Amino acid sequence: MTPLLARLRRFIVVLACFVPAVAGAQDDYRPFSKEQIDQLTAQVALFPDALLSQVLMAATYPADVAEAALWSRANPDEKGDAAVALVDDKPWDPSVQSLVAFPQVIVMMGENPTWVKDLGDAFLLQPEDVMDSVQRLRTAAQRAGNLASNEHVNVTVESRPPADFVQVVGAPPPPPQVIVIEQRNPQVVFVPMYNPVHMFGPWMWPAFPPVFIPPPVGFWWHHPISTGIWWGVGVGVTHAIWGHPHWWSRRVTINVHHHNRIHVRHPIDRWDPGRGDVNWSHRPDRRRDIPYRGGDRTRDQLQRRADRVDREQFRGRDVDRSRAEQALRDRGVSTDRDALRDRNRDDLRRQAQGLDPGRSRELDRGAARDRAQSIDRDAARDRAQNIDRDAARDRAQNIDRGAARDRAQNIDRDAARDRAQNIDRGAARDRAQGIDRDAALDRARAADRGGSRDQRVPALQGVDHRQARQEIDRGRASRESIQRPAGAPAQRPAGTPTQRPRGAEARPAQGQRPGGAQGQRPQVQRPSGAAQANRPQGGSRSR
Amino acid sequence: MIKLALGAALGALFAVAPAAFAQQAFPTPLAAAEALVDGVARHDDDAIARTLGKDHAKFLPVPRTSSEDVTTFLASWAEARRIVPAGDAKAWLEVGRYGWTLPIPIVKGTSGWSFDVSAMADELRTRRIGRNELDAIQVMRAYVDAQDEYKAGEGRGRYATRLVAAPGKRDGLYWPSKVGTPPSPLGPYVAKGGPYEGYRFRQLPATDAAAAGGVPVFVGWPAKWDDTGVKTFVVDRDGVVRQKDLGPESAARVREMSVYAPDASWQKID
Repeated sequence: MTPLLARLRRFIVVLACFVPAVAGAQDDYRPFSKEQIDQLTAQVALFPDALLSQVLMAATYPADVAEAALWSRANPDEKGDAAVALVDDKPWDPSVQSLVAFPQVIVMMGENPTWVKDLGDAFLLQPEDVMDSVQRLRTAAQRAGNLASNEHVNVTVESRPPADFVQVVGAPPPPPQVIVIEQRNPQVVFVPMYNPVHMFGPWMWPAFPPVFIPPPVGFWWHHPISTGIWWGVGVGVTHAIWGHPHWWSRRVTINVHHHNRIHVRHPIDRWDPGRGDVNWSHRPDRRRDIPYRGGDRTRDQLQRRADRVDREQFRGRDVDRSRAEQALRDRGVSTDRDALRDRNRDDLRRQAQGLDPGRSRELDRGAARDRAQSIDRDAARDRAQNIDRDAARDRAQNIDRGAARDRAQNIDRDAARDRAQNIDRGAARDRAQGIDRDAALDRARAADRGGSRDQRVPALQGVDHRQARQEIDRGRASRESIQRPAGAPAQRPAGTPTQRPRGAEARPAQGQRPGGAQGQRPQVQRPSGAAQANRPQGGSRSR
Repeated sequence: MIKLALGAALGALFAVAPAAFAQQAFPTPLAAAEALVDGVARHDDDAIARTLGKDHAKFLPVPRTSSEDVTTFLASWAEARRIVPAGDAKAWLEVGRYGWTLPIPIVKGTSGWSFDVSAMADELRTRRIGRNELDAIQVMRAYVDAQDEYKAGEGRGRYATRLVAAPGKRDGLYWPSKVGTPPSPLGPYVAKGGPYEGYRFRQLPATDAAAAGGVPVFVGWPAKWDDTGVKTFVVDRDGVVRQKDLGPESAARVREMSVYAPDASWQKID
């Protein structure tokens, strides 16, 4: 009887694997339909929000998911933060590493690779549709009486977007309401197990049955599934969950604090001022050889998006400031950051102390690389501050002191008094409540600076900058190009090759515009867009 | 007798001391590099002085306290090091995996190879220029990103014609925001014109083209020419960055710019 049952179950598993084939072939350029997306999301739509966001991110790296699932099967007793720590050295994206905390989830994903790929592609290409689909299904489940708060989760309905919600022009209008599923205890995650066929009332699209991945045979969470949700056994986590879906703006953000605590080797070093969270961004360079739906065109599009995210650090927001702001919001973070830095420094000190040629090869390359990411930024900040300071001093010295004094004496005292009396107290109060971010940050930064700082050695800086070579080459090329008669404006004849000897490098090389055909253009505001439409994108420049 | 011995000892000390601090020449560039790194690793001032000369603290102060720069350098050295010759009489010490070289060249003199500390300041300036220029190019592209973001959000389909919004308004790329609310598309350091990473920035006045839906032209030029940067950069709506050396009077020449006419003297950066 039992072997027969087992065989039957295996048959069902095999059958389930074929279902998502409906969702489309790999080189399909058409978007997924609403029905197809509901098929894909049904299996996870009732997951707690944070866990669901982790699943969506991880699904964009199907090769990593497959390997992680095998690992989890081989190590069935590992779960929670401890499991994530064990896979720290695997070459998987952090979102996949984090899912190892939940064997039930990662093994389930390993059961159906096609579903994972389709879900990931849908989330990459049609994130709005995926998020709306989840909401549609949650509403259906609630209506069917299958989704309500219990001892594991809180289920709440929001009927109004948050105050800071900005409707993006051209994006679909916000949903009428959103259903939020939160863990009761943020540090204990219960993974629901249910049969999507029964969960959402009569399934809306009979021709597109939901993907159902039953638990594989012989696993501890194995459970006969009926019409209810089985909430399984809670998994204790502290930092393994760091994603968060925003249903109104239809995106996923990352809590950098949690992320960097658990993924020490791959810290995120971009901070979104005002949140402490950053928008999630897919990294095509971590996708490995799994093609995207839409092929290379999709890959290019995603690469452009990733480049754009990398460039956010060049928007002129002080990184130090956003960190200070984070500290303002949550003092715990700054100590965490210090701990992170200390850890790296200890690694290094150990390496330096054991410095002899025989041992040198044993150095941890990963640690050095990770360090590079965080140190670059510190160096950049220091640089910026030094430059500012020099410029400020230069400026200050040039101020005509006499003129300043004259001005000061001429201030109309009556006018000043009038102004003072007219200060609107209401306005002052409003101002106080809406504390200026910049001012608050300056204060926070001053407070943050209390800790001891490293002494910098200019001659040794930059050794771990990824683009150390490019910086040197670029500086040389630019300075060599100015060896011309003094005073004469630099007028390089059209068509002259550049002086840079190396053309094709990782860094986008400077190329001369072809030919004098361009000539002296008529006075236009900007070069024609069409001519530049197909400009090649530089590779991702992580610093 | 005792005095004599003391005198002899003192004399010996004086005889030895200058030798200990004189800059030493080495048979090969690698030998010079190894002596320096050995000194740095041991925090041995005398050993460093033998390789860099007695003023070494000016060029390469090795702090007794923890220094990320020193430990990173040593770890990278352990990982990979190479002597890169530049001609017959000059060589650079390359360390780590990213092609970084020590900014102090090793040069050949009559008695052997030694570090040329006098060249360091200029080499550091060259690197600063390179780094700032690469960053400035990214800032130019990030400006276009910020304009796109503004157009999709606050701008309601229009690009911003101002860098800094009028007080209390959101009609520019930067406005002060409250703690906990989303930041403006551009940060204050670029929007207020810099200097940021050694560069200053300006948006050309809004024109008919801008009114018709184009991004205003954005210009970045070195805060101090041939010191914080050499090239001046402009970016157009498609994120195409062009560069040109406007010379020592870069700032003045940028101030004169009112329209952007990208003739062939502006080099496109791919």
